Amino acid sequence: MTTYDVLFTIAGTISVAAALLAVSTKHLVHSALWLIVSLASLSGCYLVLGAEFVALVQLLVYVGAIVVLVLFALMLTRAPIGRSAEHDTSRVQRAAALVVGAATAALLASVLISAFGNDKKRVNGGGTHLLAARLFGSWVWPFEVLSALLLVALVAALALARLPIGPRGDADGVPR
Amino acid sequence: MIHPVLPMILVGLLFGIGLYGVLARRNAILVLIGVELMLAAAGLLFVTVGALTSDTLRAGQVMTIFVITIAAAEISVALGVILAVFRARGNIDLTEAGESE
Amino acid sequence: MMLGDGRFDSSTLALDFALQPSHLVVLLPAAIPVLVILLTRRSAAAFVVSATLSFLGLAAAIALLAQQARGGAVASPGTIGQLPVGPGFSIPLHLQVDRLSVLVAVAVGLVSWAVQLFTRWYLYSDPRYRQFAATVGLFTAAMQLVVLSGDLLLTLIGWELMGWCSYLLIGHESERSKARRAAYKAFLVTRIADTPLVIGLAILALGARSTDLGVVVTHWTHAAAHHHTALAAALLCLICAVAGKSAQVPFQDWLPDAMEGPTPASALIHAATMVAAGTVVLGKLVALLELSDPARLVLTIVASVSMVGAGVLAFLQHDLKRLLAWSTVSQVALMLLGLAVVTPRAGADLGIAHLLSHAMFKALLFLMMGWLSVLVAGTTVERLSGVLSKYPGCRRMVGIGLLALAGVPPFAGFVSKDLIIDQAARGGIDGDTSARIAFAALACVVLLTAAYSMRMWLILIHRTGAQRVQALEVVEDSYAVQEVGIVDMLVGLPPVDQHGRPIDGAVAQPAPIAEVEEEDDLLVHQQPGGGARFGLQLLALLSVVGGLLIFSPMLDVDWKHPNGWLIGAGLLLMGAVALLVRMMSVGTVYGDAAARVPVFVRAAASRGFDVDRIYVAVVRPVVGLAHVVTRLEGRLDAGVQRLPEASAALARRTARLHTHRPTTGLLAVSVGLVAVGLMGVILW
Repeated sequence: MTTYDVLFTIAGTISVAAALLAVSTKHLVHSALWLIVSLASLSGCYLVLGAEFVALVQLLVYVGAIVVLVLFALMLTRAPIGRSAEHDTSRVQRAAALVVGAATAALLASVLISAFGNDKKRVNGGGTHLLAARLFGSWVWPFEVLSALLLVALVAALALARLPIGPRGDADGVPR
Repeated sequence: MIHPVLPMILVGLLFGIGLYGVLARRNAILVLIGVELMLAAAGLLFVTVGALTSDTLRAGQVMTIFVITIAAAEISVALGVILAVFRARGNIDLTEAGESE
Repeated sequence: MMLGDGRFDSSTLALDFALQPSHLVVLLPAAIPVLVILLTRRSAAAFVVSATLSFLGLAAAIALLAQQARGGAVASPGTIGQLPVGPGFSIPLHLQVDRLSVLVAVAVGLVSWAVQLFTRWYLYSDPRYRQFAATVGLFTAAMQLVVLSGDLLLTLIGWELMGWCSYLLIGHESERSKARRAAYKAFLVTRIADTPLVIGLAILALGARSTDLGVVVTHWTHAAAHHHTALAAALLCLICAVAGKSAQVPFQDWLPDAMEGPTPASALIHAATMVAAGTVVLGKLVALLELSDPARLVLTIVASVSMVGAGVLAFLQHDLKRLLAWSTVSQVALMLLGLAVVTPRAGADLGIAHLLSHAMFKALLFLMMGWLSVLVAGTTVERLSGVLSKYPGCRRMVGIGLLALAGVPPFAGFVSKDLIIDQAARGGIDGDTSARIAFAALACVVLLTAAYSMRMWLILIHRTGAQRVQALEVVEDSYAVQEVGIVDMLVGLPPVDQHGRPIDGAVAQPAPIAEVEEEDDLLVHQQPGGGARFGLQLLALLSVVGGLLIFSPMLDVDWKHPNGWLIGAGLLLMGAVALLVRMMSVGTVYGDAAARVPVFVRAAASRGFDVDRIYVAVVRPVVGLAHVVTRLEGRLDAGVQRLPEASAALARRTARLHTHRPTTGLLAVSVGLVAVGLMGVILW
């Protein structure tokens, strides 16, 4: 066990535990909050792996933006506060989902482990300086395309929000 | 120095948990949370592989940043859809999504 | 103009121009259908077009003959250029002009022209005359293409085109079911026989890596020693196709049935074109035929059997047009024998010589038969009996045709037939098996030909008892000249010829003058036009003097050493047979010598010894198979039609299983993905 191993184990355990709670809690809002914990500790894992910029972005974008967006959506869809059994599917399907999830996890982990072996490896993190050079050097075109994608997503979200739909009878007065 | 086993197990677990979340939840937003977990697993895998191999182009980290960006775009559109569905149907229960009104 | 710039050499008649007479020979008849169908709406206009163009086609053929005689003909004029099929194989698509093909082209052009002239009279009131004339033109073009082609592909094209045109011509009167059946039969039988032709031509062409006729012959001449079996197989395939087209055993039965077509079509098909096409094609490849003994033997046997069998059948036919048809089978077999008995040095000249003479006299006979059948409205023995006594105007030309057919010197038929017999006799003495078989068959067929020619002649000139009495009355009337006064007789009595017989049958009984005039009008109508009669007379003339052709340098035959004993014996036997037939005919009702033969034999012969039933028996299993296939197909069809319903039911049943919940489907998809992933990991 190296220091890296220890730190990674701690962060990873927290992340997994929070993720488990996020997908199993009966409180809607709790679910979003546990997601914050899980993703934040995942950014700790990134730090251990030497990707400090990615960890920062993870915190900023996921924790700062996305989860807040999710919370907003929960509010806007009048999510019930408190415990509710309404959020889960039937027991049979949950059991099946459990089996499938476990099988997928085992499958992925076993495949990846068998692919990379268990030899101790040096963490080749590099610095943010080099990452910046690569991001705006080799990867600049995909980066620009991504910005266009973000713009399109923005417009699409706006269009969806203004979509003239409503329940039958046009109850909420949205103009047709 | 790090054992590659640990990140790989974490990737598998996060992905499996995310898949469970997608399959076991009825609320569309909770399904989205499962999807976020699966995306996070993918990003972790990118970073891990980038850190453990000689990655001169920094592709692992760059790809993770891209994945996070795409996830942001995806979730904004998805939430827009969910809101539209909510306005149209009054709930966002996926088990009733296929029923005719 | 052309003389000036040296494009025309007046001494050799060579023409330095892209369009050679050989092209015109093919193109002018081919233009007939195009122009007739596109431009003309009335029969008269169609006649003008087709008669003009076929005359020009004949003129082109004669010009080609003149060129060839002077040595100025282009030996292999190209057509549309070589087909681009890549290296290693060449399809030059060129024509080939040699002395034999030129002669045949002239004969085909002449017969076609005569037929076009005659058709106008024969089908005067037929609303579909235009189509008929157009088909005749296309048919002629196809035959000329086969005759002049120097490329196996062009030969095949012309050959198939002829098959199709023969179907159209035979089935011209398509409102009659018998004509339709005959057309189908001709088409199917020749079609089946054509299948080996494609195979045979493919073998020849692939071996030589070219469809050029000259290259093919050269290559196989050298390769014959090593690839004897392949050559024999290819030639046997060709012989099979030739047997189909030329109506030889076992495909012979379509040709008599083809008599259902209008008589000009029969004349065209049977005289110069379709049935002779086999001889032409084999004649082009005769150099290869000489190298393959099995092929020669098969050809000899097929031709001998056809020749003798058809001769017997011809003698027994009740319908005189079918008699001519069977005689065509017999005569075409004779041509093929002329090819089969060739010695290694000689070319196809013997067969082609007989083809030429046969084209002349058989076209003449068929057209005369058409004329006579119009006069008496039928072609059976009962109808035609005594027709020449009633209409003596036709007597000369029918007589010439029959004498040429029987092979009486000095008519054309005698010359060409005698040359073949001579050749067969010589080959037989040299120990050639094929030639011996051929000689035996020829000896039989000479007598048979004489017999059926004599029988036909006796039927045609037969005079019934009533006619004899009438003739007697006329003669007795002529004794009364002194009593009546010569002026009265000239005015009041029917015209008679120098023998005291009524002329043209105009007065079967003493009739008022007005009626005589009416019948005269009728007779004018019952006579072909001047052009057609001129064509007939030309054919008759050529039937008489056509034998002189062997003395020309165009035909390379050994005429200097005729076997006098053979000719003498043959003529004596023919005379004896003719006498025998005459004796048999005495006392029969219609002057029909075959009436002495038992009825059931004659009936069977009229049906071609029921070969048709054998055809049907061959076809029946095929039809049965087709029925089975049809039934299976029907089942399949019903099944397919029930398929949407079944799948809809299945869909409804599965729809009941469907929960309409996305997550369930997602779960199923995930399970599947995991299963696939597991399998992939385990099986890796």
